[in-house]
Amino acid sequence: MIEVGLVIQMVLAAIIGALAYMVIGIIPGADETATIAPVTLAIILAGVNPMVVLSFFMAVIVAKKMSDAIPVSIAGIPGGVMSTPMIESGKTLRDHGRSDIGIRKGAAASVIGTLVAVPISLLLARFLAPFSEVISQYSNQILALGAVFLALISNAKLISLLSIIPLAIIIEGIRHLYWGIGAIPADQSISISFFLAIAMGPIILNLLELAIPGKRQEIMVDRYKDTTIRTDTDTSVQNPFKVLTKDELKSSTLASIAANFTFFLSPVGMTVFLGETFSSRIKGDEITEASARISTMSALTNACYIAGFLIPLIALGLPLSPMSLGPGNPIFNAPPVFTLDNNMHHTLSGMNMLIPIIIGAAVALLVAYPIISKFAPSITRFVYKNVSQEALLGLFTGLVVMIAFMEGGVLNIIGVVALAIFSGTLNRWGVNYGIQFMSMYAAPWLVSVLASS
Amino acid sequence: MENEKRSQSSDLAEVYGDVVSIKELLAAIAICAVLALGAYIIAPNEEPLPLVFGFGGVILGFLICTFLFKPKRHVKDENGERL
Repeated sequence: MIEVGLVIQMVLAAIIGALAYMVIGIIPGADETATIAPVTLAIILAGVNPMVVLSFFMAVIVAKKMSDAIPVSIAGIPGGVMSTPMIESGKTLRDHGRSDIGIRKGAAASVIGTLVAVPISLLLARFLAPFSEVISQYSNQILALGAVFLALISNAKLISLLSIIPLAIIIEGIRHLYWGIGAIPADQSISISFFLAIAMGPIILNLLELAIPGKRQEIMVDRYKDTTIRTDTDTSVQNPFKVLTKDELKSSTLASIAANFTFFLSPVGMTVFLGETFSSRIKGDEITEASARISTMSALTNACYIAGFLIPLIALGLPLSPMSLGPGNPIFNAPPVFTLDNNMHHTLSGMNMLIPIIIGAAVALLVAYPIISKFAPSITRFVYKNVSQEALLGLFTGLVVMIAFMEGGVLNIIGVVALAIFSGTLNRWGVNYGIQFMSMYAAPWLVSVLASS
Repeated sequence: MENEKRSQSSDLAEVYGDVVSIKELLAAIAICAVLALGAYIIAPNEEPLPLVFGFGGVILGFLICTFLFKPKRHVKDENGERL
């Protein structure tokens, strides 16, 4: 029996998570891994009850994926990575003065995507669970093969394959340096700050480029950024099932079901692929087609994230999907609280797993849907006018510096910058987060195999 | 608070998809890093307080920076009116 006090904590955590990330989802360029993982990590390490963390995390992903369609519809600018597939249809609607379609249908479709994905992920996880023992026996091999697999299906196959082992060597190299000179005890390892180094790699690289004279000239600009946001939208809250047309409801539902079976693939890739596939059957004028595309994709961003998180968590206990390797990473690995062989998968079961998931998702839908339908233009205006990029970059770097110091002192702050330069460069060359995180997890095993051969 | 800053001495740059002032960016990073590390170090040595303090320091830094440094965006509505 779950105590009432705990349920209240779960509900409160879900409300806070949904409100905060609904707003963060609107901020231009707020990458999912960079914004969700560090905060989740901090909450876990601070000793919050795992069920409360799980409820918070579910609410965060549901709400953040619901606001994906907002910045593209109102300002034509993507929020996180997952909203990039919607830029084009968002722009079409915006140019026709129908931003309201993007926001309204996007939010309604997200409700559909969530309602479809939660039960189906749970079922699919049940079906896969018997394999979890075999999988955990060969986890090293599976993580290494996972890196190769993700490399082979990525857009930059060759460079991705070529970078797996060098990245593993750099990571193990820094760890062995720390052990060698006694920066950390022999029974401890560095993992969280390396994860952050990879997650923040592109940002840190971008900041360091300001120190390269030629590069600095290239990125210098002489004026503020012009942003036009549309404010002429209808702001009534309607039944999500009635906001979508029959065809849109069908394509959103079918696409969300399909997304569960591709949980181990890139969520942004699947949003594009399944989104185009299912919405292309709806024909009509420009607005009808853009509206079908943005609804289907918005349902998919929720479904891909939920399936990519829940299936590995419940069935496997290993982060074997790009989503669980990225934003969901701390749920699987946040030493000393969680490790790959002792995380939520191992400590929560039955109702203790199910209830936080349902509370988190339900609270997020109930909180975020009406607020987004009613206030999306005002929230966007507030964010654009008040939250500066300087403050956000300060927040991210402050977090990285503190966690790096916590794990390995001043030396590790520099170590993290070194790894970030390497991995940020790989990222820019097309080696995606999934491949890099898989290599990071497989690194100890890969290097020991190489050393003994 | 004039928005049309186009002098030769402009220190505006595009970083991670948005325009920032380099001086303000460096200040923001320094403020957040110092507050985070400072709070982490002065916290009572009893788990998980250092991390909670550090986290509080980062958030405080973020709020200070939000107050000190304004976005470098011209926000207009569909009629070209400044918002």
